[in-house]
Amino acid sequence: MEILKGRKIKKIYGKKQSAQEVLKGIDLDVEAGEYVGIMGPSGSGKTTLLNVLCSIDNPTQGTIEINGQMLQKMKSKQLASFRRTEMGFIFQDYNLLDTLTVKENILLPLAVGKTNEKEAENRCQELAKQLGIVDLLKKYPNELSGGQKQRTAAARALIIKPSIVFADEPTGALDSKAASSLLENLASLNKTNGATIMMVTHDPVAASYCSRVLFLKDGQIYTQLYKGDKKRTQFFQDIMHTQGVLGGDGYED
Amino acid sequence: MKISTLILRSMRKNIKHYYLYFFALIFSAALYFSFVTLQHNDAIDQLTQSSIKAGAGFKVGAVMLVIIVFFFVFYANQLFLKRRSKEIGLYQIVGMPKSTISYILALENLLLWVAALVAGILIGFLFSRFFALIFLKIIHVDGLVMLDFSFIALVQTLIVFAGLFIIVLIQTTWVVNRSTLLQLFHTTSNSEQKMKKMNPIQLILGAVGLAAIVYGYYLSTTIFNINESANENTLFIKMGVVLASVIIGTYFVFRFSIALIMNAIRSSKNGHLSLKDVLAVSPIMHRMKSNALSLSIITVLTALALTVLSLSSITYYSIGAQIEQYTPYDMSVANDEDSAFEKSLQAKEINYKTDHYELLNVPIDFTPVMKNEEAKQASKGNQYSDTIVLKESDVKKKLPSISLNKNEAYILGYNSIFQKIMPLEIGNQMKLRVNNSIKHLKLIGVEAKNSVPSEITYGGKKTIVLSDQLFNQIKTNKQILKQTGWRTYTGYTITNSEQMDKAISIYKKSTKGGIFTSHSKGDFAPEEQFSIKSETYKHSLENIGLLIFVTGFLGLAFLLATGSILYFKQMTEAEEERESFKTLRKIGFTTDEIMKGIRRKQLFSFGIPLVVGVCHSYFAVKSGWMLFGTELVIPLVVTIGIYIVLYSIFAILSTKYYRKIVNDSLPQ
Repeated sequence: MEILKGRKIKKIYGKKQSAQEVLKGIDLDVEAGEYVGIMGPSGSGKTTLLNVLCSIDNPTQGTIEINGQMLQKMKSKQLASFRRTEMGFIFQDYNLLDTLTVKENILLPLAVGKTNEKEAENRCQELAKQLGIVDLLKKYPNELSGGQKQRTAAARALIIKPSIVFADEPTGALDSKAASSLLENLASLNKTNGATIMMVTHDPVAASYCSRVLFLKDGQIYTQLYKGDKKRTQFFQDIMHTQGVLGGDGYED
Repeated sequence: MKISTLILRSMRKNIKHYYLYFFALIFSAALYFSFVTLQHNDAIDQLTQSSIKAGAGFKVGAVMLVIIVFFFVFYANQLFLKRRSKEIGLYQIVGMPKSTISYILALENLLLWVAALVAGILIGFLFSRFFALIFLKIIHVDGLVMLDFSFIALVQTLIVFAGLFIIVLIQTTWVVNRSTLLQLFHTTSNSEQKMKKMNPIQLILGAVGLAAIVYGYYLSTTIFNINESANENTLFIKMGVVLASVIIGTYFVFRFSIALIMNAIRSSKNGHLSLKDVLAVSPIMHRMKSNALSLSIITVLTALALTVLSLSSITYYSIGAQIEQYTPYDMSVANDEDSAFEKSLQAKEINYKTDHYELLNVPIDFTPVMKNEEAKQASKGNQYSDTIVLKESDVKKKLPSISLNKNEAYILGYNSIFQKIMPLEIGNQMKLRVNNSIKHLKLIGVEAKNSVPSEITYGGKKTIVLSDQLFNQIKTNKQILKQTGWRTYTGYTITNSEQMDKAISIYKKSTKGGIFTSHSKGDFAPEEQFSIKSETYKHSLENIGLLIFVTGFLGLAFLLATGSILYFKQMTEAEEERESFKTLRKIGFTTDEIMKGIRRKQLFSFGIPLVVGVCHSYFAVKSGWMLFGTELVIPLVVTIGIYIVLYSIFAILSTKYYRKIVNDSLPQ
């Protein structure tokens, strides 16, 4: 089943004369349970694409359907409530609220509307266990390490059982150990909970955890790689190779 | 790059940070200048020259205003420096010595201050015209005040602001010198301490805060009760204790009690917060420690402003009733020296009415009707006090509701001060002494009004009404008659108010300005000047009008200063929370949903200082209002009402600012 369907997505910034076409007509489908990575050199439009797909930004042209619902037909209030009930978000700089404890942060998306408190409590405990942050629930974000913060953000993204999780450079601010531990967590959530994840990254290691990786270049999809039955290390090699072809040097940012 | 270019560029870049500070300065300068202009205005000077009080009132007002302005500018500069801490840190990182940074900030400040002073003085000049109109309206004078640009006012303003400028420079240099790089980079993001579990000590202190306020309130209600050791010292000590316990209590409430309550609410939710809690409860708790002091100061200032405003409006509102009480008739004649006056009135065809009174001076013991023991104790050894006694049939002309049997009596002139310090038991027996025989009088009623003026009653003491039968019986006693200084009194009422001025000039001519001679040969001088009601009224109106104008002006300054500080504070908090709003918008909360929480936070941030301040001032006013006037409820409600309306404008502005920030945090 297709969770996300994007058609002819264009995004143009600026006024007519200085207009810059960042996305040049992208078609994209994501199946339920997929773990899709988006890679590409700086300025290729990765983050813009993600923002447009998750309705934080409007496309200039084109349509996006999530779970059979056309985003362009919704008003901004509907969009907001759709985001709250159907999408999870993980950002590079965590975006936790400093004034809330870890637990309160995780439960934040449920702060409006009726939710069964008992059910929410169970789900929170379960996610905390899966992500290894049970002992941190009563702490405040400024008492946590980067990795712990990002795992809190992941739990917050998944508390509502979203149709799809959007992650924008989730490992960008983490050291390699914290990054790999978070990526393991995301991969296992993808596998055991069947969460659909879409992740923007410039890190080939992070991308190698995905089941499919899209490569963007100059606002268009350049190519895509499937992991298939390959081992992660093998997939990593493939990604490195494609990146080499794509942008010259592999690690640019 | 030269330092001057750096300054200009950074000012242009930081215009958003500056305009708040700039506004604070302009506003202070405008307020001060318009006040001083009024003070030095010739027309107003002439109006107020007659009384020394007026000039003193303006002087005290000007000093108070400097204090308010100082507080306000100091606070605004502090906020301003906090907002720019990153920039200061950056200069340090690139290797600029602290002295140079201070120099840059000083130059920037100088530019700002000069511009703000020029703008403020212009605005202040325009405003002073407006304030002058209000002033004339208050003292019921019709006429135009021509306002010239006053150079004395200008010089005075410049001197005061130069002084303030030096203080602000010292503050700036001190902040820059004291700061370490690390601090500078963290002041905005991480100035708040993390929330800790409430410990028992905080719990106790929270309770102590509430108890201290309640105790202060309780003590304030007893402050004017007479007791055996009642003297000025104990009064001041009591006032000091009330002030201290209420002020400390306020701080503790902000610092501990509120956090205590919020903590209880929050823990009860066990992590499942509603969006309102997320946006109101948790940020407030987060900042409570650093906000406690400033919120307490604002609360105390609000209470102070409200108390002063209420008391002066009570005074103003009660002018009429007060004068009615002390000078019940338009003009007075004592001991029947009125033949010339009445003849002239008739000759000039002026319509008038007279009420004639017979008077006696009789020693009376009030202690049996006093309710509280302390008052009885106070008059021990000297129970019998000389009291003016009137006849029922005379008094009935003015106060027709009075009716007495033989041994009954009525007390007149029992005003709000007496009611407070000497509550009476109606139905008890007073003692009246004629020679050595004692008569018992049953007190059947009291009345705040009086029918004879204060010149007759030795400055507004109580007066007794007796039945005609008893009065005539006492009158036959020679001893009593001998000690009675004023034997008759005639009150004149001019029925046509247009003839009032004419009547007054006749009165002055025929009575040497209202002077009458008493028969008494005691310690008092036998000659007494009786006041003329309309002149007294005009005089009080000018004096009290000035009082209410100066306090009103100061109240406005207090209001604007506290309101603006709260508004600035909320602006800063809104900026700090911008990222949170962005996150909330991203994960799917609408602006309207977020604003619900923001509104609750505004209600708290503005509402709590106001509610606590109103409570404080209510008890303060209640404890001493009777010294100022005769009417409590209406002036109090009107004053507080107006204050609340003006104050809410700041809350509305602040909410609007939040909405803008929330709206702009996401592109759509």
